[in-house]
Amino acid sequence: MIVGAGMESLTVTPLQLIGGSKSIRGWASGMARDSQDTLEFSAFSGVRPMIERYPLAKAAEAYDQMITGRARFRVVLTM
Amino acid sequence: MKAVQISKAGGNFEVVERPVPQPGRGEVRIKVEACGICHSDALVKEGHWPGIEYPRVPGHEIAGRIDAVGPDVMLWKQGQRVGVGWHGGHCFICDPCRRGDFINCQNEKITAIHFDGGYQEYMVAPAEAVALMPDDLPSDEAAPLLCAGITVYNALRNSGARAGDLVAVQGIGGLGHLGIQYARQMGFHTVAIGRGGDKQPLAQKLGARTLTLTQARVLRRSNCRRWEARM
Repeated sequence: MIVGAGMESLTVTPLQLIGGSKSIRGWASGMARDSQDTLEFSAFSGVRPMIERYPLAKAAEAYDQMITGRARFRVVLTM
Repeated sequence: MKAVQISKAGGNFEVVERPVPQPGRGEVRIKVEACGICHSDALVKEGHWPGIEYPRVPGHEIAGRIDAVGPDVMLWKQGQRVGVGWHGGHCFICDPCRRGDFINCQNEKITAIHFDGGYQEYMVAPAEAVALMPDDLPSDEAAPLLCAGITVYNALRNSGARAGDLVAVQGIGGLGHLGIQYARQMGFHTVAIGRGGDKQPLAQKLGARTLTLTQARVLRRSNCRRWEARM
C-alpha cells in the first residue's frame, strides 16, 4: 500500500504481480470523521508525532527545515 | 491578524496582516493554535497543483478551536477543539457523494488549495471538513495527525491486515515514524525497513523490529513464509 505522495514512477513487471496474486494500491487519506478516529485512537493509544516547533512568523525557516529533510520528523507552526 | 501567504507560484512566504475572515453559510471559523508543515505544502508554494488562486495561505494540518459559526451549521459550536486536514469538503450532490463516497467527490475541496489553510491565526473551513479533537491531545502534537497521522492510520485499518499479521513499514520518516506506532498499537507484527544507521534504534523504540533494505531483499529471495508481509 502506497501512502507517501512521491512523484517518481514505480517499476513492476506483470510477472512480479501474478505470482502470489499480488497487488499495489494507494489509499486516499480520509475524511473528517476518519481524522476524528485518528485523533481518538492516538489519544488513548499514546501514538504521538515527533515534532519541531516554530512560531508562525518563522514559517519560511520552518518550511526549509521540512523540505530539506532535516526535520525529525514533523514541523509545526504554533500561534 | 497575522497570516503567512504565497502570492505566486514559486513565490516566497510573506508574513502579512489580514482582516479576520468571516464564516459563510455552512462554514466555521477556527482560531488556529497549531498548523503542521507537510511536504505537499510544496504544491501550493511551487504551484504544482493546477488552478490555485493566489495569494494563498498554505497549511492542511490544523488544530484549533471553533471561534465563530456561520448560518446553517448544525454540528459545531463555539469553543469546541477541532482539527482540519487535507480533505476540505464535498458537494453532497455528485454521483460519488450520492453513494456516500465523499472522498471521491467530483467537486472535492482541498484545504489550502481551494481555500486558505492554517498558516494564519484564524481560518474558515466548511463544516463537513471539521473533526472533533479529544481534550487530552495537545494542539501542537495533534496538528500533524490531521494529515500524516490519518494517512497511515486510515491506510493501515483499511488494508485488510489482521492483528498479528506482518506489516512492513518502508522508510522511517515523517509518515513512517507514525506508521510504526499505529501498526504496533493495532496489533500488527511491525517491521521497519530503512537504510540502516541512526534511525534503527528509534524505530525499535517506537515498536518495530528493524531490517535494512539489504536484509529485506535477502529475506524476500529466501521466500521464507514467516517473513511474508500482509502489507
